Amino acid sequence: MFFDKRYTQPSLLFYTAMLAILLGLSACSDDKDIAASESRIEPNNTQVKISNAAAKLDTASLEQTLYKKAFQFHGIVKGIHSYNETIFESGKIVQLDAKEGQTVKSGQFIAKLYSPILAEKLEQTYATLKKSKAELSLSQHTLARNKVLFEKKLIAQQLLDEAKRDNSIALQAKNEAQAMVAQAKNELADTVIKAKSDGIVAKIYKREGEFVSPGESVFRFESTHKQKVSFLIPETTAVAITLGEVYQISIPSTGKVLNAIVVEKALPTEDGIRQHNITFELASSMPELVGLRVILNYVGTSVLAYEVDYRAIRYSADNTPYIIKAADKLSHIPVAILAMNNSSILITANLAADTNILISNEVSLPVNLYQF
Amino acid sequence: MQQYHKFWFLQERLIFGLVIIISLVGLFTWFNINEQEDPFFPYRNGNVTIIAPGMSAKAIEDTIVQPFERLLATVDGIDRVSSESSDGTAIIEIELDETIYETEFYWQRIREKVSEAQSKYGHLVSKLSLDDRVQDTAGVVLTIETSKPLLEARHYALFVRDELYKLAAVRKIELIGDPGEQIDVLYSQASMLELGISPENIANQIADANSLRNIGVLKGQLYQSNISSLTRIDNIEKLKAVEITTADNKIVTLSDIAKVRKAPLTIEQTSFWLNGKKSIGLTLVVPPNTIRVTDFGDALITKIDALNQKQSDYVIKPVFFQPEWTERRRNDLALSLFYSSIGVGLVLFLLMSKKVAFVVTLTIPAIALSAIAIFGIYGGVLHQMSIAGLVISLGLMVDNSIVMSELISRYRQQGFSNIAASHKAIKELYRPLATSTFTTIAAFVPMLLSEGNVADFIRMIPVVVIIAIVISYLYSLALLPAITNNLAIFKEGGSSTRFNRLGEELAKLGTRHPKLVILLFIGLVVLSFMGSEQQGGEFFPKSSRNQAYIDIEGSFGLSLEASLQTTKQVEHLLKQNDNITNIISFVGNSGPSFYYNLNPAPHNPHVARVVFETSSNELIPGIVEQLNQTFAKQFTSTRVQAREIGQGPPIEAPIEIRVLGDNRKQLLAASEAIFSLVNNHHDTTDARRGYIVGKPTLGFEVNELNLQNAQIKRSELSNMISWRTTGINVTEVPQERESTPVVLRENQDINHVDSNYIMNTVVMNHQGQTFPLSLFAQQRFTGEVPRLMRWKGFNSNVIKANVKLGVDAASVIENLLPKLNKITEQYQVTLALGGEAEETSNSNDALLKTLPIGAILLFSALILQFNSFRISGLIMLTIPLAMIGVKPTLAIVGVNFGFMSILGLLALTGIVVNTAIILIDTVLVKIKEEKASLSTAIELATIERFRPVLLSACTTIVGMIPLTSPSSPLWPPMAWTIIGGLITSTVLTLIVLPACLTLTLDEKKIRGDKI
Repeated sequence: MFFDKRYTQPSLLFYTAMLAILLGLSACSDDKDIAASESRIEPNNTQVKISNAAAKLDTASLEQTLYKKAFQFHGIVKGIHSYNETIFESGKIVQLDAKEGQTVKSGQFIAKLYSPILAEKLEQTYATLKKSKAELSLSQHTLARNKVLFEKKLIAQQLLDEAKRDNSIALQAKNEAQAMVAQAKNELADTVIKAKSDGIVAKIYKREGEFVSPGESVFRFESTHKQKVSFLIPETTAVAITLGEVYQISIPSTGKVLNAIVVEKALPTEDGIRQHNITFELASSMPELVGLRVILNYVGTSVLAYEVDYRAIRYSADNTPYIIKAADKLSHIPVAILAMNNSSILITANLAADTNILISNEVSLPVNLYQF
Repeated sequence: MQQYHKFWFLQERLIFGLVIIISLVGLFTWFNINEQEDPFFPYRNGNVTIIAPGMSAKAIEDTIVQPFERLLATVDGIDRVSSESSDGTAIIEIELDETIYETEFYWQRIREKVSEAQSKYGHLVSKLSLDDRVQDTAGVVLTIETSKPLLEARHYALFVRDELYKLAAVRKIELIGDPGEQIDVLYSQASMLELGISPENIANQIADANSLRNIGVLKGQLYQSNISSLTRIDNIEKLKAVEITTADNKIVTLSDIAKVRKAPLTIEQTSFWLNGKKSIGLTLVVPPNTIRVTDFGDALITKIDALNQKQSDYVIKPVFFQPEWTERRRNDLALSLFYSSIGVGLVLFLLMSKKVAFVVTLTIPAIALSAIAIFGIYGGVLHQMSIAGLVISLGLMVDNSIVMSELISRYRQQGFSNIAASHKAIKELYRPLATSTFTTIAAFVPMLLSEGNVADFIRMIPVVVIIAIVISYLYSLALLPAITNNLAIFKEGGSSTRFNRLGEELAKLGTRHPKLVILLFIGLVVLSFMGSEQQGGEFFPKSSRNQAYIDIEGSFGLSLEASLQTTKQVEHLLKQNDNITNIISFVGNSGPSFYYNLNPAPHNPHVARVVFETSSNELIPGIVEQLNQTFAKQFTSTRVQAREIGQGPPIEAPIEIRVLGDNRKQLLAASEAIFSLVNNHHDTTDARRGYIVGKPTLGFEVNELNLQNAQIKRSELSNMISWRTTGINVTEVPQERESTPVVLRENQDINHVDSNYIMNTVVMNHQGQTFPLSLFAQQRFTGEVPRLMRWKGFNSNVIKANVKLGVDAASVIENLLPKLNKITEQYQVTLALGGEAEETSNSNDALLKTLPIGAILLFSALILQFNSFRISGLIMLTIPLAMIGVKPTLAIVGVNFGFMSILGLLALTGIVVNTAIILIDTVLVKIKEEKASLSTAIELATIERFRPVLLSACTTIVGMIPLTSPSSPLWPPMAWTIIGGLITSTVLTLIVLPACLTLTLDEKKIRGDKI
C-alpha cells in the first residue's frame, strides 16, 4: 500500500507524519541540571572567605573614643554656714526687717520678737536682785555692829561668826540675783535677731505677727563668704571620691560650670540606703548661686571604646555579642557593649582603629550564624 | 404523516417568549448583579492580637501564647495556629481547614476561647482580641491632600471617616499614615527636683481627677436627674486646670508646673507618603459578594466630591480605587466576549452557509444572556472568573447548535420538510449531544467540587461553563429547531464539497493505513511526554494591574526614620523613570491590602513598602527586573526587592521552608544550614531568614534592698523610667471623635533617649526623697531574641527565597530535598514547605481528589451512550491526542505551564472527547441503519462530521483568542493550552480515531448490538 501510485507524491500521511514529528521535536528541551552547587562557604568557626556575593556586603569603619561612665547627682548650693535661726522661748515676731533673698551684713538687725514671759522674768529677776541687795545691806550693817560689840567683848565670837556668815550668804544671793538679771536680759536680748555674719536671708518661715514656738525656725540663713553643696552619692561611686579632690559642677539654670573641692565625706548610715553625704566647697565665692540647683557630673574611669553602627552588633546562639570584621575574610570578633548612644553603640573589643566591620542586614547575611 | 404537533420544538411562541424573557433578565442582571474584581475567599484566616507592655518575646510566648495554643487545640476545624511574639506584642494567626465553608461557626468557637483567655490573662495584657476578617481587601485607599499640619489633617480624616461610614456598603474604614494623637503633659526632671512632686504623684492626681466616679442622682418625688461627676476631664482645658497638691501642701494647676499640649504619638508608628509628600489617608473595606462594587464606587465618588466642595483646605483623592479596576476588568473581559462572539460569527459565516451561520450566531447571545440570568438568579457574583467562564464557554456553547443546525440543514437538503428534518435531527442527536454535553460537564466537575483556596479562586469558571453548556444543549433542541422551522430555505453551502473532499482524504488516511497511523500516534505521545520538561515559571501568573511594589526590610531594630531614609532613596530611583506615574510609600508597615493577593506584614519600624504605578501594565515586568538589578548594587545592607502583583492565593515567597523543632539551638543550627543551602543554589535569589538571632536590648539588674530601703516599688521604678522615655499613660480624655490618651513624660526629645540619659534618671519616693537611678539599677545589655515564632505547636524558623526568571520553584525544592532531609535527620527537626510548593501541592491535591468524580461521570456518560468498554476506551484515547499539542504550543508562544494550564487541560478533556463521540456515533448509525461496511461507515462518518468538527474546533479556538492577549497574564496559559490541544486533537482525532476504529470494531457485532 505504501507504493500505491496515489502516494508517489508527498501524501497527506507524509505531511501528517512530518508535522507530528516536528511537533514532538519542538517540545524537546535539554534537561536542566539544577543540582545545587557546593556551598561556597567553608565553615570555620571564626573565619569565612568572602565569595563574590559577599563582596557586595555593606561595611562601615570604627570610630575610636573614650567611654566615660558618667553619673549625675543633684544638689542645692548653700552658704558655707547654713542654718535655720531659732529662739529658745516662744514669742511673737514684732518686727521683721529682712526679705527673702536679702543680703545682710554681720550684726545687721533682722527681726525682733516679743516674749511676755521673758519680760516678766526680767522683772522678777530685778525684784529678786533688789531684795538680795537689801538683804546684803542689812547683813553688812549687822556685821559691822557685831564687830564693834565683839571688840567691846559684849558678844561672843559665835555671834560675830554668824554675822559674817549671813553677810557672805547675802552677798552670794545678790550675785546670784545679778546673774539671773543678766540671764533674763540675755534672753530678752535674744528676741532681737541680728546677722551673725555676712549672708543671705534665704528663706523666711515666720512673718511679722506670727507666733514662734521654742526651737521653731524663723528663717534660714546662708552665709556668703563661701558656698558649699552636698550630694548624696551611692557607695559604689563614693568610694572613688576623696577629700580635697576637685570636680566640676554645672548649673542648669545658668549653664555655668564651676570647680568644687571635696571638703566633707560623711559615712553612710548603718541602716537604710548606703549613700554618702559628700560636701563640696565652691572654689570661688559666688553668693548669687545660693539656692540654685546644681549637677555634679561625675565621670568614672574611662575606657577605650569604639563607636559602631547599630546594625553591626550581632548575637550568637549563646547570647554573646559580636561584630563581623570584614577584611579578605569575615571574622567573628567578640565585643562588650558599654552603652547605646543616640546614633551609635559603644563597645569594647580587641580591634584596631582602622577595622572595617559588616553592617549588612542579618536576614540575608551569607554566613552560618550558628557556627560563625 | 407523523403528528408533530406534540413536539416541544413546535411550541414556538412559548420557546421564543421564554428565551426573550430569560435573555432580558440576563441583560438586566449584567447591569445589576453584584460584582467585584476578584473572587472571594471564605474567611478562613484570622489573627489574635496580644499587647502586653513590658513583656519580652519569650515571656509572652511562655505565659500567654503557648497556653492559648492549648486552648485552641480543643476547637475543631483549625488547620494551623502560628504565632509571632515580639517585645510587648504577639500575633497569633489562625487558619481554618481549607475544606470549611461555613466559617462563622468555627470563629464563634474561637471567640469563646479568646474570651476565656481574656479572663485568664487580662491582668497581664492591655489587649487580647480576635480579628476574623483579616482577609478583607482594602480596595479603596484615599488620601487627604492639604498644606495643613498633619494633626489637623488627621482630624479632618476622622471627620471624613465618619461621613463615609454613612455609606451603607462600607464595612470598615481605617486611617493610614496616622500619626496618632495624645495629650502630652511635659514635666521635667528639673521641675520634679524643684517642686518635690514625683511624676507618679502627678499621674495619680490627674487620674484621680478623671476617675469618673458616680456621685449619685438628684431625686425628688416627681423627678430624677443625674449629677455630673466631679471627677471627669472632658477637654484639654480642664486637664490644664487640674489642681495639683505640691510637697509643701500648696495647690497649683497642672499648667503651672507642666506643659500640656496635643501632640502626635511619642513614637511614630507608621507614615504614608504620596509622591514624596507625607500624607494621611483612609482605607475602605466593603463586604465581599454582597454589593455591586462599581455602583459603590460611583456613590463614593459622589460623596467625596460633596465633601471636597464643602471646604477648600483639604482635597480627598483616591489613590487605589478598586471599583475602577473592577469596571476595567469587567469591560476588558466583556470586550473579549464581544470579540469572541464576532470571531465565532465570522468563522461560522466563512465555513457555513449564510443562513445556517446566522441561525447559529443568533443562539450565541441567547445562550450567553440566559446563562447570565440563571447565574444571577442563583446569587452569582460577577468577577473576572465568572466572566472568564463565559468567554471560555463561548466556543463550547455553539458546538451543540453547530452540530444540530448542520444536521437539520443536511436533512433539509435531502428533501425533508422543515419539521421532519428538525425531528429527525433531534431524534438522532439528542442522546449524543447529551453525552457530549455531559462529558464536557464531567471535565469541569473536578474544578467545581474541589475545595480549598485555589478551588475557591476558580470555582465560578466551571459554574458558568456548566450553566452555559446546559442551556446550549436545551436551546439546540428547542430554540434552534424553532428558528429553522420558520425558514423556508435552510441548506448547507457550496463549501461543503470542499470539506467533504478533505474529510474523505483524512478518513482514508486512517482507514487504509491504520497500523502506521497508530504507531505514529504512539510515537508522538511518547515524544511529547518525554521530550519536554515543564516550562519553568510561576505556578500562578501575575495580575494585569499597572502596579508593582517594592519591599524594604532593614536590620531588625532600626527606627522608622532609618527606614524612611531608604524609602526616600528608592523613591528617588523611581522618579528617574518617566514611565512611573505614581509612587505611594508606607513606612513602618506593608501598607493596606489593597489587592487580595498582597500579604500584609506585621507593623515594624524597620520595614516599608513602596507601591508604584506605571503608564502601562506591560512595562511592569521590565521595570521590576531593572529595579532589582539596581537595588542589588545600591542597597547592600538593606533588603530591597521589587515584585509584581500576583494572582491566586497570597504567597509571601515562591520558596518558603519552615523549620520546626522544640530545641531552639538545634532549630537555629538547622535553619542556618538550610539557609546556606538555599542561598547557594544557583536558581534562587533573595534568600532571606525570617528570624533574628539576637539584638541588643537594655535591661537592668535591680538592687532590691535599696529599693526596699528607699520605699520604692519596682513598678514605681519602672514608671520613673517610662516617664523618661515614652511616658506614663495616665488617663484618657474624650476629644471630638475619639478618646485621647494623656501621657506624662519628661520633655526630652524622644530621638535622644540613650542609655546614659536613662541612667541619669532621678528617682523620687513618696516622701519626696530623691535618689539616682544607679542606686537601684545597673544597666546591662543582652541579646534577647526580639522575635520568636511558632508553627502548629513547634518552635519555628522560616527561610524564604525567590527563584530566577523561568525557573520553577517546585523543581528547586525537589532538587534540594535530599540535602534538606539530611539536615532534618542531623538536627532532629522537621520541615514544612510553604510558598509555591505548598500552594501547588494544595491545588493539585484539591483537583486530584475530585478528578475521580470527573472520570466516573465521563465514563458513565460514555457507557450510557455506547454501552461498550471498547468504544469508551477509544474515546478516552483522544485525550492524549490533545496533550501532544499543549506543551509545544506553550513553548512556541513562551507561556509558562502553571495552574491555569492545568485548568485548560481539564477543560480540554471535556472538549476533545466530543469530536470522538459524534464521530463514533455517526459510524454506528451508518453501520446499523444504513448497513454500510465498517470502512465505508468510518469514511462516510468522517466526511459527514468533518465540517461540524472543524467548526466546533475553530469556534472554540477563535473564542479563546481574545484571552491570549498578554494584557492580562492570567488567561494566556489556559487559552493557549486549549488552542494547542484542540488543534492537534481535532486533526489527529480525524486521522487516528478512524484507524483505531478500523482495527477494533466488528461490524457484525455492531449490527447485532454487541460492540
